[in-house]
Amino acid sequence: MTKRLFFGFELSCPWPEEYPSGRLLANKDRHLTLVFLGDIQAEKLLESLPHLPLPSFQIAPVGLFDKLLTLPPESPRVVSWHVQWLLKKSQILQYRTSLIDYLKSLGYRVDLRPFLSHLTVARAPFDAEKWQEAFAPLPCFVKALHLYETTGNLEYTPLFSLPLLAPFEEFDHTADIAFTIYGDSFQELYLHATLALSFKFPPLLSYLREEQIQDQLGLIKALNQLISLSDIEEGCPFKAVSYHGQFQNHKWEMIVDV
Amino acid sequence: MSNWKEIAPATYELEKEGGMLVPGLVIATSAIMDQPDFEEPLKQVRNVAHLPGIIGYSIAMPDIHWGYGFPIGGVAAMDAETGVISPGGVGYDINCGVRLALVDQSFASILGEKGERLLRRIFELVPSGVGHGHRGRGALTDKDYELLAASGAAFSIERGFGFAEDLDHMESRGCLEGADSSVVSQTAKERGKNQLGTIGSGNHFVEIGEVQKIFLPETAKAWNVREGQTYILIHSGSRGFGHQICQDTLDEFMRQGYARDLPDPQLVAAPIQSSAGERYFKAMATAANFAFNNRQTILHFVRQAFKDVLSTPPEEVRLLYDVCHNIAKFETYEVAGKKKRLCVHRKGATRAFGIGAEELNPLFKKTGQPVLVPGDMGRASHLMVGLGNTLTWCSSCHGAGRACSRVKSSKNWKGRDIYDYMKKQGVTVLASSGRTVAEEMPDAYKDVDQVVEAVEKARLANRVARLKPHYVIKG
Repeated sequence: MTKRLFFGFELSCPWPEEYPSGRLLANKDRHLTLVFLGDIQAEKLLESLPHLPLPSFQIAPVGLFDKLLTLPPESPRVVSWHVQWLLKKSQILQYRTSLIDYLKSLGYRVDLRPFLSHLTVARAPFDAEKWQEAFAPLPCFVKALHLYETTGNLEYTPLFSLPLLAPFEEFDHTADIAFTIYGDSFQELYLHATLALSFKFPPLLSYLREEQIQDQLGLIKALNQLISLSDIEEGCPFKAVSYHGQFQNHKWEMIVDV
Repeated sequence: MSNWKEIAPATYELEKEGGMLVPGLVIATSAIMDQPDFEEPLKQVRNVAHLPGIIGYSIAMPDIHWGYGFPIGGVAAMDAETGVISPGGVGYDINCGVRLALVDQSFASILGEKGERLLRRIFELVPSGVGHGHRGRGALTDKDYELLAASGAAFSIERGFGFAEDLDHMESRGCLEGADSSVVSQTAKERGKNQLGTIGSGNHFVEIGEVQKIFLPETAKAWNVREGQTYILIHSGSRGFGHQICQDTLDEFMRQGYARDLPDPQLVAAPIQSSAGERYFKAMATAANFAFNNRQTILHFVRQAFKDVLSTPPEEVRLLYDVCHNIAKFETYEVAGKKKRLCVHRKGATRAFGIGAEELNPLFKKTGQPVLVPGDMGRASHLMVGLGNTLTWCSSCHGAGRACSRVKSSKNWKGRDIYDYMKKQGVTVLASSGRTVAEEMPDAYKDVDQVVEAVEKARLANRVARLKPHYVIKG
């Protein structure tokens, strides 16, 4: 049974509603390829999936689409968005290595070209200039690891999935907006909270700064600084992050006045 | 279930428990109390009752819903000598408020193509939504902030944005005394410098509609309000300037440990007489005066739109009243037989002075002050008259109150043509963001008719007229 397979991440993102012209991949089919296997005899791999190495992270890595790439550079056939990881980049690379080692141990040959964190959005024909003009940074996080099968027509079917914990979840709040933010440290909470806000208002990402967050007051203050900076420069739909909730059991309830 | 007893029509006392210094007081009808989630914000009413210096009751209006520390639709008066002042009791949007203007022109005469053109012109002239500064007003300088703090709405009027008579038709004549811009951070000034004359996002709006029904003909006549007349309602506040002042103060109060011993750190409050408390009042009053200027500027450009589209002279777009509904003010009341100066926090609540109140202009002194109660963009808003009920420190409701979250409302309307739906309800909506419209659909709000009914039964304010929106600009 030959199948065209690869391991990849499914990413969550506030996908734009409009795009320049091109052969667009549906949101559900967009992925970041981690290890490409190509056309292989799949039985052994499918049988071995229960023993697949697991990533060292349980909460999903977060990042942002920071630039648009047209690939390959010399004669572009795809429009891709590059992912800049905000957290866990080294763990992703380590995991990729362990996955490659595992696949090799099963006797598979894998594509060993250098890893480029990118997600393909559209295929040729497209107008590269228009895509560049339309590009704006967007937040993203890994929703799940999948073993994908290429089924043609820009469609990909997951044969195996390993879901990851989302870095944040929105919950109902009558007057404002509210999220449960997950993380292991204040530093992580800060980035995850920024990401949560950016899912509502992506321009906020441009104000993200290197911050050393030591405690909860520092966390709230740093998030409010982002909001202030954004409001000064280009406006912001958020008034402020409230002094609400305590960081415990790896989570914090964030309420945002809007 | 809460432990309450009815002490007057639509007025319930919440028993004192735990560390509450005073009982709670809830203004509501049984129809409102039966609504889901009504109990939840009563926790916040109880929390507010813990604040030092609170006098009388911790009060909930019928449009109450969960807020920052204090509930939205909450009122609390603190002894000015021994009590505290709490930014959470004012809210982030300091002096968020509403103003109502009337035009002596039948709404029927502008309904249709003229009305649509008018709406579009206002949309062009009055920035709405995220990140739209005003081109018609230059950026505010430090000197401007100083002047605006000292003179309130007169600052804009002196620069041609309105008429001197407008001041007689604003709460506190459009100027809160005690403002001092020197205590305001540079960040707040930066946030606000291009935001005068802008609606902002969220639940803020400009709406035009018809005076649909008169309930109190004598008061309506005194105020020159007639059935079929065109009205304009403007809802906005102090924008990023006020938000930053609130945030700066919360940071400072938290740092100084003023949240200790409170049931919720969001109630953080400093003694009114402390330097931190005084500093907050000065900054808050500056933001309040910024907000008066904001609504004054918006009205100016609405007047211009009426002139451009309908050739209506600006002076014929007559301001009836401007009310604050997120504010802390010093007012004097009789407490246990003695005159006492109180700091009345109204968060999502409107002052409702009755006949004879000193501050009011001669017309309103005879009738009581107008109380403006915006509902939702589909059903109705209300014009009421204050009755000066001291049980609530002369306060009334401020709106319909949200019935469901923004997320839920967006989900409910996902994939549907909300503009077309509203049009079929007789309301044309223009907005910078479709998401805001989805969050603000009429069913996201409680029925304002029920809310004003409770207020009327509790003798806080009486209905003067019901207003029906037809043209709405949202952020």
